Amino acid sequence: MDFGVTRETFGALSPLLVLVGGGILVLLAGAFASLSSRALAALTLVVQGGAVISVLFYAPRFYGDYLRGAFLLDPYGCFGALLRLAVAAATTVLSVRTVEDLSMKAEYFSLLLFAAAGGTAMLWTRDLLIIFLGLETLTIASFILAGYFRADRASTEGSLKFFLNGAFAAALLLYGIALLFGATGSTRIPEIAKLLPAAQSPQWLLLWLGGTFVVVGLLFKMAVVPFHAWSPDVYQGAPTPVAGFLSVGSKAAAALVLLRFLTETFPEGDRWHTPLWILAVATMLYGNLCAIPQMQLKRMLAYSSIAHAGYLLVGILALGELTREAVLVYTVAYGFMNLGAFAAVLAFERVQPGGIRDASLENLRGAGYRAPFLGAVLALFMFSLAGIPPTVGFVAKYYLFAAALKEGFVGLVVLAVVATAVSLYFYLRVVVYLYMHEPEGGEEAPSLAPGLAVTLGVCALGTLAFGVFPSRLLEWAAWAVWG
Amino acid sequence: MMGISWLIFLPVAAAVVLLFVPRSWSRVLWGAALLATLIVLALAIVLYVRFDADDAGLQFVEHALWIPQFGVAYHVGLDGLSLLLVMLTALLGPVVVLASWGTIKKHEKEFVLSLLVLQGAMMGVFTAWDLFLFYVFWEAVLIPMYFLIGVWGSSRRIYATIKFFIFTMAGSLLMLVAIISLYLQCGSFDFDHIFSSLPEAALPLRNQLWLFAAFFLAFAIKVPLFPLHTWLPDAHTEAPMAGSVILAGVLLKMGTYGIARLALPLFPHAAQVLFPLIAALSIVGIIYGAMVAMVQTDIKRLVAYSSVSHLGFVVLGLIALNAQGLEGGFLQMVNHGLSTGALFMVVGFLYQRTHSRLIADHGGLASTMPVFSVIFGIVMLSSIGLPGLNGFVGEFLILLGAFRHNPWWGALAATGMVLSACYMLWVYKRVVWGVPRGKAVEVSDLTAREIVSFLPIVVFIVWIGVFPGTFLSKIRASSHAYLSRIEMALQDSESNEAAVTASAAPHWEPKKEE
Repeated sequence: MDFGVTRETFGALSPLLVLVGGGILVLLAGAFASLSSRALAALTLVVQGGAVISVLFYAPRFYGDYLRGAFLLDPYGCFGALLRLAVAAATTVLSVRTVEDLSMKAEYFSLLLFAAAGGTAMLWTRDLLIIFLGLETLTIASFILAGYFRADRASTEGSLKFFLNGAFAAALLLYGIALLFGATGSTRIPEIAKLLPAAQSPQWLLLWLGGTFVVVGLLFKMAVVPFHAWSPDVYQGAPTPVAGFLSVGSKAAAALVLLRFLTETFPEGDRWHTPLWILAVATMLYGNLCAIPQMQLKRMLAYSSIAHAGYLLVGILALGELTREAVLVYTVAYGFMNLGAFAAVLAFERVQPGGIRDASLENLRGAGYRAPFLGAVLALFMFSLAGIPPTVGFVAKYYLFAAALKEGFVGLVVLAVVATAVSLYFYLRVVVYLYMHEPEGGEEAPSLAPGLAVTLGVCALGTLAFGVFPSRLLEWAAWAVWG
Repeated sequence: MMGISWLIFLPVAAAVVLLFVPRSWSRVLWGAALLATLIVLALAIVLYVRFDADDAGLQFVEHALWIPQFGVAYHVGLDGLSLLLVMLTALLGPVVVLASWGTIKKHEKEFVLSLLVLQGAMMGVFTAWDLFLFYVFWEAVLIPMYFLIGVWGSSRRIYATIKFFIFTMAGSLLMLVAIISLYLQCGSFDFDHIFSSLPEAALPLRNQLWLFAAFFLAFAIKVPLFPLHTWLPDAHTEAPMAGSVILAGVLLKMGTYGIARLALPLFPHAAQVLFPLIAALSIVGIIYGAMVAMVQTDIKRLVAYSSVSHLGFVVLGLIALNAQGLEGGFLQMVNHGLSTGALFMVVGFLYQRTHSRLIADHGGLASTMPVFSVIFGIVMLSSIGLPGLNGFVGEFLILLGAFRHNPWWGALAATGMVLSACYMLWVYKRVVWGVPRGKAVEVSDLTAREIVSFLPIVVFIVWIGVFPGTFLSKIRASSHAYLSRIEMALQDSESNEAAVTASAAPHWEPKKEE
């Protein structure tokens, strides 16, 4: 049987092959040689670097459909894949010390690679089944990663909650795909879209029901209210690098897939406006309001990340020409600032005298003076998350709001602005603890691990540089949408 | 080319350089900050001298593409309306550094950095000629101010700083939505372009009102106009001296400047509809601020409430929309910056000596601190508008403008002047006259550094009072052009309104691009 496999197929899918092959390699390396976590991380980085190079320089020669339409290579997918890989690479660097004392180091890094492969695959296709497979590859790897501290009850509990909710979401998604297949005889987005306008009444019901289930499945991954319940526990319990990985990488990938699904399947997506409008508002307000009383940094960031899913949803539901670019810009901005924030939390966890796993606000008292670099970058990330210029968070929010206003969503934008005003309180409170309380102990800050320092530096630089000079970032986003 | 960008970025660059100076080198930190602010002042004076008073347009323009995708340009320039505020910002820079030198005991490096960044951002606000750029500077001002209050303030500083930040930011965010809507209407952020294209866009009044409200709210919070003023006494009371001086001296002027620069000329018709409301709030603010100031036991709170009162005057002058009101308003912004800034320095120096801001703890300072008492007397008299000092000219022009617009406005506002004389003279009497008592018994007089820091302010208080023409002549051409532009827009919109109401006000929708 002819699957349409040609030499080009291998070229086009080279990043995926590199990631999967590399994952297996790391796994074997761990099995046959007892490598340090540093060596494993280096190996993982090499694999990720290879994948990045092939996405950047090799794969673009092969834009088009592969394996009879199962895979699709386009700038949009490449953009998402690069974001995904960058997050994965940063996570790898951050994880070195976290997994140092664990017994299954190699498995951890190979899971990161598999998760990245899954995340890339779902962006690299217009076939709902491939999306499902990619998503599940990503999620199952994430379940394990979230529960990696097996001895820790919070970690295990989070992982279990994640698993139960994730299984439910997966079932919904699959059910939705089945309905769409039942209605149209295809799982390919373009073919479904072609059949949609001609659909008769019973078929029509199947289509919309199926579409709804698919959307809901993706909203689960984005942790949009009311499908968010898993995320605070998971973020709090998971190893901090994994929490950052989940909050940025998985959310962004799901958002980008949702955007593609909605724009390409239902080009006149008016029917989605009202329900998604309500969800977006609920998500923004709920996330921001619930973040206010949190005293644990990671939990606060979890709720903040729910709120940011709401902002992303504003762009996704507006479905305008500009909103697509705005969403991409937002994911990148969010990647820099939120990953940076998690990295800073990780650093503070290590700075704690007793190695307390959860950095709480109380522990940050006066830390801005004890650890000037760490304090400054964390404050920068907080200002950026709150959307205050001149940071990339402001540029992203501005673009998103402008694009949504252009589509006429005045009320939605005003509510988003109100939610943003609410969010100031808890983002600023971190800064209050960093600088406005006096340090309790006089101890010096231990030096940061080089990998951690580099990650923080890159995130801070991105947050600031793209905040002051966003043109290049906007160009990339426009390229990704329009090719 | 020594242009406006230097005013904005020199202090910021100095802050970046000082970032790498060890925190123990406190003399270097303060010295460098003083040097940087002095250079900025020198540059500002050069610009002031070279400023062509007969040219109503924008001068010293710098223009560069910034974010082409958003249509945003780095576009700065000076016109008569900005000029005085830029000068005020430049003048208060070295004054504040000098006044704080040696009084800040903790985190000196961060303090100096905040002051410098703050000055740069404020310069940006007053010179930006692009709405997006304006907004970025407008917001950027908040961050150093937030630290100034929150880190170096007194006991309830955290409450005050968060209140300050959330109040002003909430207003600004709504303004952001309005800015975006305006951009979608006009297709540009450039002030020139917006001003010229808006009358043609001819928004229905209902939308004009919304947009005006969003802009005006952001500015009114900053002013602060009654009843949005509640953050101000807290922020002032808790802020360190330098913070209070800059807050009163410059930051509040961003609000009145915004009203004059954007809210009125962009939506003159909507503004006109709301004039009675705004005037009422201003007048209530004038009287209420003065009356609340009268019963304060804390000198700093008294000065803070007096700001609410004085800024009501400024807003009233601006919305009178005639030459006297506008010129008086702009002059009074500077006057208030000088007088109230100096009053906060008075309170600050007193507090450093007695560790109390309560009126009851002081008395008879005239015999223990004669120099202090003289300076206090001058700034106090300037604040209540004694003829021959700066406050008089500004308030007189404003009242004149208000009378011409509506005699009731003038009559009611004038009571504020009487009230301000009451509370100021009364507090001066209680603190300075009489037999030394309480903590005032064993205090030393002002040091040379402190006197020097007062000197420029006192010079200008007298200069503006005696020769206001020096300064008014620089803004005359711009204010005339400004007023005639608004009048034309008002006439246009009146003739348009008939047409619009006749066609049953079509529902406004954001313009879609092809």
